[in-house]
Amino acid sequence: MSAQDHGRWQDELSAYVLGSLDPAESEEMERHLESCAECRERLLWLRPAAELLPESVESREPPPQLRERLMAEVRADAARHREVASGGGRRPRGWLSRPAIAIASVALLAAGVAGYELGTGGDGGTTTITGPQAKSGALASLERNGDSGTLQVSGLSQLPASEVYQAWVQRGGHMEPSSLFAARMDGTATAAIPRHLDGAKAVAVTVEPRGGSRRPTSPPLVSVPLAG
Amino acid sequence: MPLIADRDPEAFEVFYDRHGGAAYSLAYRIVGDRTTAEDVTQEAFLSIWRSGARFDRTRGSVRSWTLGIVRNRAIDSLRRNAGKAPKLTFDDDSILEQEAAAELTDDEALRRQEAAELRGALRELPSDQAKVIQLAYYGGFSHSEIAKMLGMPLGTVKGRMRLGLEKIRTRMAEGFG
Repeated sequence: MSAQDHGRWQDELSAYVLGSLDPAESEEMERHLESCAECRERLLWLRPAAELLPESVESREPPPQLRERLMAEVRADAARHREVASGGGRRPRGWLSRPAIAIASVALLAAGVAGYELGTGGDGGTTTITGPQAKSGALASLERNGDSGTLQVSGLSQLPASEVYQAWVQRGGHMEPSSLFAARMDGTATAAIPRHLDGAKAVAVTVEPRGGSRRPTSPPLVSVPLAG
Repeated sequence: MPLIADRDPEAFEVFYDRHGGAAYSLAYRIVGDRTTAEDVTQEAFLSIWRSGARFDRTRGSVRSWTLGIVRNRAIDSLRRNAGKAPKLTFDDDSILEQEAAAELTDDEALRRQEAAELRGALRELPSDQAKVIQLAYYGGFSHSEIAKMLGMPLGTVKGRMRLGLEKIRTRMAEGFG
């Protein structure tokens, strides 16, 4: 690679660590980083400068009510979680109750594998892949048909009106936004993934503000790894 | 953060006490008003709690990861309320001085002192470099949006980002003193 090429990547690297590249450029950068040790090293050197930016803002005391509201929600969540864990809650029904998938899920947990192909449908084009169960208790499964699929999730919490679940198609290091959805009362949900599964690494679900996001604003809650 | 992953509210409370101040400060810096900053901070911490706090250590510190989530939430909020321009200066010391130092914990007082030193270092950047960095990080604008906004070639914007960040990084390596 010429010095001029490297200059280009290094200019882009600064925009990358500032979160200022367009999604496609960001993905291109991540592909480049996989194969370029020099740029990876430079990224490690540069990243602390960008990490300093959020630390350098004027310090403000958060109002005590914010802590109270947050902790009230957290404690309520924890209580619901304990109730479900102790068998007091309603067990999710529907797709999860299908014996084949339930058994496969147990096998997945025991083996700790990242993904598992459950079988091929009678039409020859449909496969179902289940991801590992998340610590939150959520479990996702993707019924894939070529470039599109249907995502089934269980073990979800009911979100406040200001939030929504969002599906993402992960391609390289880039997350491409897909469907928005809500959980049913029993904690299950179904979402269409209408396109772009070819070559994708995984389908993931995050909690996003109402209306969805262009990029994930929270870590994935649960994901289904794809073979590609 | 295993205790948070185990859904322990008390561990989460400690986590919030450790990072909530920085998170709220960052959210306020980006969105520019108290109510939205509170909403953004609450949404970000709840998303961390509900996700089981799965955090990849190879991608940096817990604090950077948390602040990254807050930043993304705040930028999304800005975009939803398009029309509200982000604040674009580092000139925050006058407001900082109005706060009662006696009420601060030692940790928080130290953090504020460090933040003031960092702002000093950022202020030393040439204004054209500082501006593109602020628009990118606090405004959430892509480099091509910044180029359009400032009426300059994309290459110039990228070059200024690079020079600015390199200067900050070099100052960090030298110690801010």
